[in-house]
Amino acid sequence: MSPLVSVRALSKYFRQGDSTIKVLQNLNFEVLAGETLAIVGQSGSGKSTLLSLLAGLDQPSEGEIRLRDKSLQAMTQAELTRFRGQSIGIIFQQFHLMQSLSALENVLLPLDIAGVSNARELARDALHAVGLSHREDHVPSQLSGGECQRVAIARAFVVKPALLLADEPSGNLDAATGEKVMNLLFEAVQQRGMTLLLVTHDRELAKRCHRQLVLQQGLVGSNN
Amino acid sequence: MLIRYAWRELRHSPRFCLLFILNLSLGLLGFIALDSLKRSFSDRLQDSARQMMAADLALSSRKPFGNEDLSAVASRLPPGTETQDMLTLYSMVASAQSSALVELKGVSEGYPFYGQIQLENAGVHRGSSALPLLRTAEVWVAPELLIQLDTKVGEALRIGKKDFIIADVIVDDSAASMVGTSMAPRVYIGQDKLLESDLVQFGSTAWRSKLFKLPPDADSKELQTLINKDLKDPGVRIKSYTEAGQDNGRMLGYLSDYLGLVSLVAMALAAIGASYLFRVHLDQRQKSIATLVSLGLTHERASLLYLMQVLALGLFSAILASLLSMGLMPLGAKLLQNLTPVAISPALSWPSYALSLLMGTVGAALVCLPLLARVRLLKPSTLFQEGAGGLAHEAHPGSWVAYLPALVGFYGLAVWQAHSWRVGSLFVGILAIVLCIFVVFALLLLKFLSRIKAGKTLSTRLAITYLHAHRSHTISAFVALGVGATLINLIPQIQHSIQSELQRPEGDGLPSLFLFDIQEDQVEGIQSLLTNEGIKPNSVSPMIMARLTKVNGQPYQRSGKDSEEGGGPETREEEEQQRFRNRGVNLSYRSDLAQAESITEGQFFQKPFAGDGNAIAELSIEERYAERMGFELGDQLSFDVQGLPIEGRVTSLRRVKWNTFQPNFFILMQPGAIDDAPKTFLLTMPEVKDQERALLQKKIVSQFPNVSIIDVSKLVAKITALVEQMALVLVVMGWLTVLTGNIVVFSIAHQQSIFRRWDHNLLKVLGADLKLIMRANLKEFGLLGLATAILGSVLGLLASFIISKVVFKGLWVPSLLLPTALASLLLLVCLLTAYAATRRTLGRKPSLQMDELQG
Repeated sequence: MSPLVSVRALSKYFRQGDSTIKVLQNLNFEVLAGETLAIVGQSGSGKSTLLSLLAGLDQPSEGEIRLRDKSLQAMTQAELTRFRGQSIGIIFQQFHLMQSLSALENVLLPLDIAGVSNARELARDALHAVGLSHREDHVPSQLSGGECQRVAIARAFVVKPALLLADEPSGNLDAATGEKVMNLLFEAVQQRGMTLLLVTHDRELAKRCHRQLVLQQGLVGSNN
Repeated sequence: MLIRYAWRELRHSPRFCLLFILNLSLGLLGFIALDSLKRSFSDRLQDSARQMMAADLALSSRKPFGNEDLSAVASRLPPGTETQDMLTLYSMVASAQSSALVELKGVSEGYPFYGQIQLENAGVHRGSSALPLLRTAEVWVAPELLIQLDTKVGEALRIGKKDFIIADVIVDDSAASMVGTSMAPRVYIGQDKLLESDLVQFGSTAWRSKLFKLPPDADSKELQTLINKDLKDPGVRIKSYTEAGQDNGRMLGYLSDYLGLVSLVAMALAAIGASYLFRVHLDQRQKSIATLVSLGLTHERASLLYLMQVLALGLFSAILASLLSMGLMPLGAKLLQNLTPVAISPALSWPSYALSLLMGTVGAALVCLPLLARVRLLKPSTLFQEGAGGLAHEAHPGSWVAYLPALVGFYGLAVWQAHSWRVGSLFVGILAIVLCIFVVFALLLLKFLSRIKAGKTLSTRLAITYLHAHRSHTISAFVALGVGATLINLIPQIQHSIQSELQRPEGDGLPSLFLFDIQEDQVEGIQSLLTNEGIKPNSVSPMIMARLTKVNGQPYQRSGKDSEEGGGPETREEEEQQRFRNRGVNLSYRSDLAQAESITEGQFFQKPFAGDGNAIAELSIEERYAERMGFELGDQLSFDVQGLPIEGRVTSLRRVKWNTFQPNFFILMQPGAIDDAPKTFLLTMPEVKDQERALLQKKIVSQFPNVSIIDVSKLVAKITALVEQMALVLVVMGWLTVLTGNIVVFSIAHQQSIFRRWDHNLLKVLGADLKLIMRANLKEFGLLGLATAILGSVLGLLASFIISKVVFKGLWVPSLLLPTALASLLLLVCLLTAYAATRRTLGRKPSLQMDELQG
């Protein structure tokens, strides 16, 4: 079975004045389709940088990321944007919902961008799946943090992406709400057969994934 | 889909929309209104010049026209051109009681092509009405002539060998709208009848003219140039109406240029405001843009989303500005008509609306293009970072290219508005330099602030830290505020300069009567007559007829080039210049400068001419005359004063205020040099009541029958009213610019304050005293406002100097009070805006969620 995500000799450096900061160094790992992988590590270990590279939002300094056997680095910016819109869903710690749009419209957004025909119906289904049908006309400022993150989850999986990237999705929520949101996320991933790459500090949450990738100062500490 | 999202974003940014529309629509409203007013003044200027000449083109000569020249002219004139003849000469005329020198105008059917003659009994005569003077031996005369000749309408007037009946009195004549152009009262007579009087003989001094009315689409200036090249006889002159009217035409021209400048400044201010507001809007939306891009929206489409917003707001602003101008312009036109008797009626045209629409949409898009280009450089990966920031703030190599379309567009607009490549380039060039200076100063200010961080109060440290931490915002706010401050200063400075030119000196009364041909032995008599009547003359000037013979020892009949090469003049312009030079000049002398005069170069006469040894008398020349003739300080001029050679050296150049209407001579000679030469005197009298004026004229004529009197009171009143109107427009426009500029300043300061909300919130959360936050904010804006106001005032003053030199022919009278007042006002607006906005933020509950502070 060929891996969905394949990371080869991935490195990312940043220049700060005269010195170079090595955020990620020579990472190698693979993720199979339908697998869930937790990326754990201390603050500054490069988790978020890795996620943004996997999402194609940033370019590695060295190495390659392949998704569905396509190299992200070989794609043009436009191809990458289109590919991301269709194949990758992202959930942010700070939700990043459009403040001017209602919950339904926020979920509708990626479908509209992708030009899907029955977009409104799909968005309603997604919102229903996260238990927010009754809040579809509310704008983010009228929703609680947990509700905002559920809208963000719905927005992430509504285009049926092969890969879901989640950056500390419960990091901004209280424990109880966080747990509910994570249950919802794992449920959605399982039901839709998506691959999940989850960045988290929470060891218990990481244990719910098939595998864990521990990052230590930009290097893979363990991969189990 | 994009349209929907664009609309949603705008709906959720009401403050931005309101300020953006306010800025842009004010700029556009100013542009439309000023363009219309400028056009109205321009039309007025053209009409007035046409009326002064009574035609589009005039061919004139002291001799009868040759057939060759007439054919040349006829071949150039477009089909549909109308022609009429006119004959002008000075001659003595007599009533049964007395005689006087008059200016006879022999006119033919259709006179005047433009303008009108207001008659006391018959009402208004226009070119379209039949001219009764051609059928009967009748004349129309200036009112002062009736007094001078002690005659009245219906009585006979002897002209040459023939008697004419005085049929009517000229109340107002549009062809005589300049003071001092005629040296005797005017008499209108049919041209054929004038010829019948036998006054025009071989060798008589009479000007023969052919007046042409061109079809509406013909270019009189171009035709003048073409005909000028074709004419063979150097004694024949072709003149376009554009040359008519000098001083008041010049001032109307200045006013028109000033209005053009104000409209450009209004647009520049609007562009600065709109661009700054849009930048802040984009900065506030950076997370949204990054999120959209992370969801699969391409950078191009993300840019398009915001371009749509700019276009929609621009369109709305243009429509709003057009609607407002539709409502306000008729009101303005009515106000202008009520304020002065001179007909200035600004009207709006469809091209103005179309231009406004184009500038509102395409213009706004071009101005915001550099900011839209930054969307393309957005890094959505920062969404994974705390306090996400996505838009590139630092200059990107090649990012300046995005400014080019706006610059080229504004340059095109400036050239179009000024009708001059030179003036357009100058304005845009100055604006670009000012922009660069403010960028450099902003960087220097930041560098300076980074060094004085330590050892200050907490509020000062906070203020400095804000400015330093939000480097990019500080630079853009500094540049926007600074360019705004410069423009706010520029217009009132230029306004002050033009207004100073329009202002008459204190105590310099307007003249009502000009008395010509006073003999030396009559001066005392006339003065005592006036003293007995309780009148003090404005001025008594000796007038000596002379001919300029040499300049710096070179014969002046021929140009320097001719004398060197021995050939004749090569071009018609050279010939004309030569003729102008060979004309007689009127010299005068006096020991003091008049109140309307000021020395621009050199020194005025310090003492009378002693005439010792080889000493040469000093000369003072009017600066524009000197420029036209090519005279400079130190030049030695030789004159032939009725056979006697007189030498003089140019020791000073004078500027003369034209609107005092006092007689002023191009060449003044040091007293004592030509005092004994044969001369006449010219006397001007101050304003006297109508009835007293008539009686006075009678008394003067009865005692001094040779003296010619011209009543200039009505004309002076008319021109004074026009000047007052100009001054009013100048003041209103100047202050409107200040108002518009301050609205832009308000918008910028307001947005900057909003930008600080999160920081203020955090300080509150951390337990900071509200007064501390307010103090820090006021210090921050105080510093920004003060630095930009001071630098803007200095640069505004410099820019006004350069623009005045080039556009307004050196008319620059700086005011130091203006920059001080304007800088204080600008600082006040900055501080008040910051205070109001901060108070609002401080009134809110502290929040830990930034999103809660949105909106």
